Amino acid sequence: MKLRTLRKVIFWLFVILYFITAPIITLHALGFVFDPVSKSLVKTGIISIATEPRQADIFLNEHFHDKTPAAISGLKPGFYRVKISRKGYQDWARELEVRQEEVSRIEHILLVSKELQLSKPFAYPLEAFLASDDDKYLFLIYSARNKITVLAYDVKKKKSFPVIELDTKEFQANSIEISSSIDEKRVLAGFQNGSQTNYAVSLISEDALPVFLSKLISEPISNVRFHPHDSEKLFYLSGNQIGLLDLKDRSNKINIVNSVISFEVIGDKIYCFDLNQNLFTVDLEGKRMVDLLPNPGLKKFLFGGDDFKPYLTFMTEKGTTFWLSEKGKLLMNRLPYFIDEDVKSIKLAPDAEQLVYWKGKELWLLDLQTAGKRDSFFEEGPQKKLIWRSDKRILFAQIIRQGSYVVAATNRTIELIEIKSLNEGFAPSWTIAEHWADDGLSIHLDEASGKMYWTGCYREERREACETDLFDPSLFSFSIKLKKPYRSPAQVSFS
Amino acid sequence: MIQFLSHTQNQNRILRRVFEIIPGFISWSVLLLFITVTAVAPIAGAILVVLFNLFWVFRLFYMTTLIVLSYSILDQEREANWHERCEELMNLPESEKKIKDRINYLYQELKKLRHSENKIKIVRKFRSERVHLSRVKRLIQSKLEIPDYRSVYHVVIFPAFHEDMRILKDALDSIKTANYSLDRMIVVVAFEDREGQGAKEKAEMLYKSYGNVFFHLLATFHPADLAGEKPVKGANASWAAKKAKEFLDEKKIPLQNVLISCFDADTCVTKGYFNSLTYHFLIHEDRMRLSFQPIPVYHNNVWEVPAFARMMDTGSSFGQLIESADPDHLVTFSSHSMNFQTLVDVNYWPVDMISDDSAIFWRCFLHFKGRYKTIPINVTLSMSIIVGKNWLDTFIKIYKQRRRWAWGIENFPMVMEGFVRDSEIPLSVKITHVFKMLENHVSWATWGFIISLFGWLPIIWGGREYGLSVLSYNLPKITGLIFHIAGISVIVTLVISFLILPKRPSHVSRLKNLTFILHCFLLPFILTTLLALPALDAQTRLMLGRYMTFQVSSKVKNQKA
Repeated sequence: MKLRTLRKVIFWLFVILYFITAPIITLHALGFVFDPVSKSLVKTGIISIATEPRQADIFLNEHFHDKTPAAISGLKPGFYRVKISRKGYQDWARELEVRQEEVSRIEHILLVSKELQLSKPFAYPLEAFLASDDDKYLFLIYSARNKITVLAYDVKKKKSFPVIELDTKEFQANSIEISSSIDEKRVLAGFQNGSQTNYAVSLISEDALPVFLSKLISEPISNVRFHPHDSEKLFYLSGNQIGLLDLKDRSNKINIVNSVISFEVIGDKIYCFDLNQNLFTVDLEGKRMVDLLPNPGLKKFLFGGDDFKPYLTFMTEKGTTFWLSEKGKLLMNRLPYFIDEDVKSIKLAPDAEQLVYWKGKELWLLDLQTAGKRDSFFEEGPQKKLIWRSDKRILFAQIIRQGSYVVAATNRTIELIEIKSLNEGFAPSWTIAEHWADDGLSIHLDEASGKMYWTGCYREERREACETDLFDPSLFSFSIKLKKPYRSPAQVSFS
Repeated sequence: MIQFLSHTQNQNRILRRVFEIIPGFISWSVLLLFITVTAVAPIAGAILVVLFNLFWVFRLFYMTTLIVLSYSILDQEREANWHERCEELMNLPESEKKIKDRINYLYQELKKLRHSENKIKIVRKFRSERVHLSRVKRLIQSKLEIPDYRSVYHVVIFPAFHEDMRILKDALDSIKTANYSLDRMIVVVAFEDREGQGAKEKAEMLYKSYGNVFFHLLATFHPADLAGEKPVKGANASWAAKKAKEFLDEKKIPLQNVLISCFDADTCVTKGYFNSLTYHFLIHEDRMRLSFQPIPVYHNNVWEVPAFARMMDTGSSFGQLIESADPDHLVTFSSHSMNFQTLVDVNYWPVDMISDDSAIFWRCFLHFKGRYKTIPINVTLSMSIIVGKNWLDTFIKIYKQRRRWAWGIENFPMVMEGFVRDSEIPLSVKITHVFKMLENHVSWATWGFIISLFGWLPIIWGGREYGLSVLSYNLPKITGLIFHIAGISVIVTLVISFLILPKRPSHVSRLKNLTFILHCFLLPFILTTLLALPALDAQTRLMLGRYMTFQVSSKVKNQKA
């Protein structure tokens, strides 16, 4: 055959092949399959399932289909009973609707081990864990022999060293608040006993020498915060005055704002509550900027006549601020919006799109994406939803895996609660650990390593600190390191 | 006579501008169509991507098949004795018998041998001889009068501007050793007068070294700023050709018996090139209406350049292999040859166009009312790969070179204008040529973007509704499958590119081959930046009437070889 003829034959062969395959592939791409029963093309849907760990069996209407991760295509529209099962793990089951031309994605499933694999990385019976802002360090609180010790645990190097020690003969303490400076070089610990707090600041290093602020400031102080740009400067509340202490020049103490009962340093602003419950901001030098809540009627409605002294504050990158008062009132935004009362505590998701708070035995979810955009009292508030109820008091909750799950601890169990794609009713939950009865149960979840650390009393025995692998972060394809929102110092109580 | 008018000579300015706008307009429309459809209806955009990717993979396989076919022909003619074949054209009946005997002998040899390298060589010879025999038989049947091959002269023009002396010497040395009778070889080194004293000195040196080697060595100096001319290679080559004509007229050598080759200054001919060219010239009845196109390979400095540069030029060689499989629409590219009288008849190369290599074909095509062809000759010519001071410089230089090649689209308005004014060329011929030219240039400017970038658009712009669709799930799977299948084509072309390569010099590490293979992973980036973007750039310039000027590509010879 001549080259010219051969070329033409090949050309037309490919043209014919194209026109045969193009419609077939297009229809396949759109989800059409040939139904031999009706002898016609039917539109189908897909269920895409990914689990962690992988290689779990997928059952659709009790029939085994595949192992995870998998996408089961060619499914006729309708409801399917999906069960995921893996040896050694608790089953996951759900009724799922498959719609034509749509993919039902359930790619977030964390399977919970039937038997918890525990390790005890810390030799001491720790009282509590608190994490530094970027999770570089865990601050471990250890109490023994008339001493309360704060140890810094380098998560990467897996090495701990003491940074601050308090002699309980001199000062009794039953709770502690800890914060670290933005540069992660210094740690500030506030040991509380009733209304008195003894503050100490120290470098986070093995040979650190802590400085007790009571030795520098003779008056009782509270509300100590790092300067946002200089970790050697501290704001503190003494009486009703906000002072600024320079650790380089310890005699240098400046009063910057008067008549204040509480304050919070967020970004380059200091949010102050004064004696008359006015909320206003000052700059870092104490110059008054904005009165945020000038309306007395509104103030009365929001604060209800109580002294609104925020003890927990969050601020997201978008500027949304959450205030939780000592008496459990939860407010939101610069011009505060009332969310709920009797709130025990709150926790903002790292991506700042959701927030969980708990009150008694109830766990509530606040979807911040649904909040109105206007920054005023009359704006549409975020959608709040009761997502889970326990038979015990809730002590702690944290959103993990970009809004897919919440890990919640009661004073009996630690639970994994699935909140992704939650529609009606309570969220399904799986028990991770049981019998950790302890009012002072302290948990830290490190998303970067997939590890969960906690300390509590197992079956009411001696207090222990444990570590377990909750998930493998390398398998979490959507994992991104998010900048954490501002939060006021973390606080734990201990016996 | 239909004249081929460049944009400085146009008669109907509006019509010319319309034709100048068309290629860029189509390319931009294709790109904007993909973008707009995806932005407005992501599902429709995704279907468009699937259909295009499928089209692309079929087209890729089609092109790969043509590369394999053309390479097999190139390979089969590798050891052909073209001089002997030219001699055999003198006495066809006797030659037919001789060739048959040779074929029979090879056939017997083949029967004896099993699985050896020799067998491959003999198969190659066997197939080559059969092709030669069929041609001889055809010539006997047609009773074509074949001129004596000893009466055929060759004029080779090397337009040179600031070229390195070593590059020129290598080019002339390759002619010296090309197994063609040097007393029928006229070499013209065409310098630009504006190069100044340097050009004169180079000419002196060449006269000293090669003055007595060829039938005649001529150095010409093209004056700058001649009326109607632009500083382009075609102007210099035409000036040199006119000077060569003066010499031929003086020697009373009929121009019909002279083949003229216009080579880039770095072109090194392979042994047998001129014999092969003579053979192909002689066996065609309409030899005065033919251009001859060898396969350019870029081997002069292939082991010295960055792998991505080598990849680009291997791609160009493959492009020419593909084109050579379609002689009905083959257009001259880079170094090519034709009859001198034909060149004179069409008034030489265009003196104001950058793409003189392809423009000369279209000039002849229009002059001879469509009865003009380019014949592929299965012999390689080796040239240098463009290279800069460093990777970035090389990258920029390659970009500019590709843009210059893509500026070949400047032929489109001229060809269209010629077609509009011509009534004798059959409409079907006009349509197929216009379609092929547009299709080539539009796919050149758009494919890279569509393949490398646009597949992502539905995912980026699709939004929630698209993200939940079956199509959003199937698109990456189908595209992935298509690209995996396309990998077969990449492997085949990779194997052929290694088969074409000259032997690796001892000073070059084996790792060089590995880097070349690894560079294949940069293909999406190269497709976009060094293929599609320069072509789109050139078409946009033409569309906006911002005409390009000629820039000489600097090429470096292997220093260590």
